[in-house]
Amino acid sequence: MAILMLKRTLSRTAETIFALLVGLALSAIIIVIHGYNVIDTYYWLFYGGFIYYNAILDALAFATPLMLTGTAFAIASQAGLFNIGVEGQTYMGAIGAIFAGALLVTRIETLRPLALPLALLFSMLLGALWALGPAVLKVYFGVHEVISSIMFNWMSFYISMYLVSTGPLVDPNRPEKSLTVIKEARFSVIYSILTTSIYLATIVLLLIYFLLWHTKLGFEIRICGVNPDAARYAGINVKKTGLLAFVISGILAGLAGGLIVTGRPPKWAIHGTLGDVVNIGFDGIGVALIGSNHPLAIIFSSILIGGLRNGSRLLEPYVKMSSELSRAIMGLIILVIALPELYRYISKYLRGRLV
Amino acid sequence: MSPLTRKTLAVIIAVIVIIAIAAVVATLTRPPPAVTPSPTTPAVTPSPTTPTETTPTPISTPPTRKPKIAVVSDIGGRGDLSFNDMAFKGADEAARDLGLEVLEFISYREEDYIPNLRSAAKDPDTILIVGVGFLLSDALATVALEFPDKYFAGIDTFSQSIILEKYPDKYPLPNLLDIKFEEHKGSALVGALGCLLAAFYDYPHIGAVLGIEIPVLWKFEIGYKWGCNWSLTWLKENKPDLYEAKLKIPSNILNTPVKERVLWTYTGTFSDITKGYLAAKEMYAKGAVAVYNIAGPLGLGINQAVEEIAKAKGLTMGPPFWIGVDANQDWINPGFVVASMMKRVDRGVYYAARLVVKGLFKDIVKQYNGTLILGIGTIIAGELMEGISVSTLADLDEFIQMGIEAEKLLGKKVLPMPPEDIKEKVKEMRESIPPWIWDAVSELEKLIREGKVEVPCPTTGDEVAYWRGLLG
Amino acid sequence: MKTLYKYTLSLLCYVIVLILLRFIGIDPVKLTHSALLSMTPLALAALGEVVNEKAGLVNIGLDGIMLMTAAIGVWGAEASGSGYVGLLVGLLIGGIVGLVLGVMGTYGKAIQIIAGIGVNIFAYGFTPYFIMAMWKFPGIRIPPKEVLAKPRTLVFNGVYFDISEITILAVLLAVIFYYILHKTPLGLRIKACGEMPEAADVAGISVFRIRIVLSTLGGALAGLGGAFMSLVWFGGVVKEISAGRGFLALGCVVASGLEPLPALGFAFLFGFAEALAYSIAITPGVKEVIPYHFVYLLPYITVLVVVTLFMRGKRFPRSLGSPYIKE
Repeated sequence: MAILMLKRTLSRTAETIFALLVGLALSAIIIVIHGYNVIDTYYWLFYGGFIYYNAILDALAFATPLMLTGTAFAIASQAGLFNIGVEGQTYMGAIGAIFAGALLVTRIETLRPLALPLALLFSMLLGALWALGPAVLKVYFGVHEVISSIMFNWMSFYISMYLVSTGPLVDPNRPEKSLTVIKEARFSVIYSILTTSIYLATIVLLLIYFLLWHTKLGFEIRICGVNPDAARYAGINVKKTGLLAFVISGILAGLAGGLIVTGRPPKWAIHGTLGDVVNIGFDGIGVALIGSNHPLAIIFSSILIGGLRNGSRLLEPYVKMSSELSRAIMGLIILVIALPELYRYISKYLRGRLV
Repeated sequence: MSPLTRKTLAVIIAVIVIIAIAAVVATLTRPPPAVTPSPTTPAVTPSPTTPTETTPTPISTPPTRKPKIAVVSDIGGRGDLSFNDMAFKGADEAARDLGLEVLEFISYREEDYIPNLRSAAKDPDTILIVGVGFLLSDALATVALEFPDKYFAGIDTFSQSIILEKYPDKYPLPNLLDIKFEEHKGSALVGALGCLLAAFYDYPHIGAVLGIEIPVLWKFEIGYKWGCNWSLTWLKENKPDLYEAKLKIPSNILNTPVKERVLWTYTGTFSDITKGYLAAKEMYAKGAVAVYNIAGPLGLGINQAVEEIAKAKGLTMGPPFWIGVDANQDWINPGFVVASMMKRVDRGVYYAARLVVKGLFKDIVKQYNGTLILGIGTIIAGELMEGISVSTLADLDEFIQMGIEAEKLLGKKVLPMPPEDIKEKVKEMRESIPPWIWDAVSELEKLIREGKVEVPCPTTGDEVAYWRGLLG
Repeated sequence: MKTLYKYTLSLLCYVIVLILLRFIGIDPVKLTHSALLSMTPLALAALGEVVNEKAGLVNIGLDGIMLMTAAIGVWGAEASGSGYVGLLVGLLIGGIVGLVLGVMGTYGKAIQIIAGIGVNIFAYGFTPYFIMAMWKFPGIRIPPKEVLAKPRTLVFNGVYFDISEITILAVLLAVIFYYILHKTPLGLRIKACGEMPEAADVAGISVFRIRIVLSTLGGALAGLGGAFMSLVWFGGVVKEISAGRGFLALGCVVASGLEPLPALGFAFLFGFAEALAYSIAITPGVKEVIPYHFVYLLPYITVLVVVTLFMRGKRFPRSLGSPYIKE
């Protein structure tokens, strides 16, 4: 049994690595067509992203929120639901953390020492609430979660922007950003922008892994995703399980937003432009897909994507290339990952089983 | 699929895989570049692992290693036709004149600021690191502290104030210069222009499309409204007959309540040009004679709204107009862009580079406490360093020249029409507007320069609320 | 009959809303004009995706396609000197992407959602890169006016109204697709591919062929929508011109329950609500009552309300998104 699982994991990993290589090869073609140096490009992307002057630590810092939004999307996918609302839920999570970690604990002094747990709690709460909207609409009104989530994303965007730029959460002395969370609500800095929040994120991912593969609820969630009819016949309340998975997804996405506030020096806040939290959800979807919707794999895929993003910053100055190319590369990689059969096909061919 | 197709497909895939592996192998075995670790260890943050790369032997040493000026952009990057682009223009010009090389760093999110600034500072060839945008202030202050041997300049930043707050004994930081601009004064000038146009052509409003509501934009917003108000008072005092005549026309701005004269909204974006279009279209529909673009690329959307009206009414020049920002945007639609509120970010960057090359940086920092405010009539160290102006025909020449050079480089058309035609049209438009309007704007400029009027410069939410209560 | 009743009712509601707006001082003609412009790219992409999903494939890469074709279309227009050629180039590129996704989803047995996301992320990176590489200027390209495909103007006693042929095309397509899907044997075949591909296969329908063709068509229409934005509407391309509209189109598809006419309706509804929100936001006096951020919520709340009230429990084809594996 364990051997089989190991074989499957290795096979899946090989598939992913294969897809990565093919993606890189295809991107190389585009790079060459436009007259840029392939070697230089990949050099700065990988070396610059992971090694150059402790870049790996920056990469880990970028990866921390992605780990959570990736897992958020993954757990919903495991239940057969498409939570495209991770974006909006992340914004709400950041709002929750700011509210609790900057406003609440300064109004009610006795809560000060509890600032960090409170901030995280509120971020998870708001994320869950925001996910509850589309979830309820789906379960009780039959509204497809895609349309409701997209609408909720935009609503979250405007409401959050209001709260942190002209609303109650804006910093009166520095109105370009929100209130800063107090010292007791911050994670400890490890180096530069990396904080101990990454430990929390990793633990959460391990917990989710445990939930999904070693608990009854996790089992039910996965069955609902694979075959909802069979689940129903087995006595599982598909509606409720789906709802629960969606809400957990929201909790994780909210936590991601909370970590951006409590775990990102030197600001410990977000800007009124929402630039710190925008696209974290969407990139999380990419991370989840590369990681085959599995929390443990997501740890690695988020570090990969974090590192690539880190390295892509250096493309502009040193290769004189538009750094957005790294996104194009990511896209190609994901495209190839969408073809799980490709790897099996190749390996079969290499083993000479094709006519 | 037939066996033949399978085989061909497999071969193609195999070739791709081989290329991929070759690329990866080449990447990993390539020696590190000719970049030595910076000799100054970062002062504030301890590095747990010192870089242990092998002492790099340069593979291909360029014959001369030029000193570099690094520019770290704000989010949105280049292509905004205004703010960020102006900064790079300044850097390019400094590079050209002072023999430097430009390193560009584009920030996509606020979390990129510190890593970008650090990467720029770690490069041993950089002599000046420029942070563009006031959102970078925190990051700039942090990194400037870590690299005391490098020079840092910020555009629109208030990093020295942050130093004062957090490390008062280090203030002013000798290697850091904040360069700010008096956008409120420039906005007042175009506000005056706009309202006088409305009064002359009998329109009830002027408009402003803004981006994301951050404090920098408040200066534009309130300055614009203030200028409008000033100009109508000027009209009453200097041209009483015209004033009386216009008062009789109900659609004239003079009859619009003060708080309703300027139609404005923040769109919440610096990239979704649809919103620029929708907002401007509504403003023109309600009778705005000119819309001020305070949202970078959204000017394209505003321009579109004007184009539609022009087509419908068969116009070759405004009214209606729109007003450009930061760079000279008059050439984008000659005849319909009445003027641009130019913020000479390029001059600021150029000046900072010049200071570094001439070794005068630290002196200027000491003299001005690390903050330069460039506006109208500004004199720095005995030299005229104006940062704000309303575009003139001479400025147009400069930007058209840039366009011509770009066309030569690309072999593709950049300018919407031949340069001579652009100049002709803009000149025609300016002459179609009564000279007294231009005179009034010049007069306001003179008064500002002489310090005889005070244009409000709100920095807190309360101040903004106060001015909005008065002016709308 | 019931459908006709529903549509006349909605049209009536719309006219009433317009009249009400007149009383508040908002110009309904201008609003409708803006709404039609906003509607066109949304509707084109949505209609293409409706037929695509009816046959069982899912393409969520619409946003990416729109962004890419906006840029590549401008290149095509400049290279050929005609805006219409540019639109055609957009159509072609979108079609190619649709074709690739179609083949991947059928023969390649791909996980379609992943492929769609891949297309999006690729486009977000490729487009700014393309703009820089082609025109050596980052992030924005304004082509010379002659190469644009500007809308035609109709004038009714002094009231001007711009309308593009593409907008009319979008409306026509909605009607044509409705007719094909519900009144022709081809429509039945398409629906069969989506509902029960195994049965369709047995009945002799070439499931793969229909899916690939429709995927190509869907991509092509999204491509046309993207090129419309740059060549017809704005006269230029910026690196973020799609601004998430592809996902809004997807929303329209889902909200409509995979019906072409409601999909068109939702596209229009959104465009209209958005234009209305802006009109309200800049009206003096509004700002003292409500922050503009909340006014901007209007289009999203409107769509949510309409979907919740009128479009519940829509069924989607059973085999949607999962590759059909032939035994």
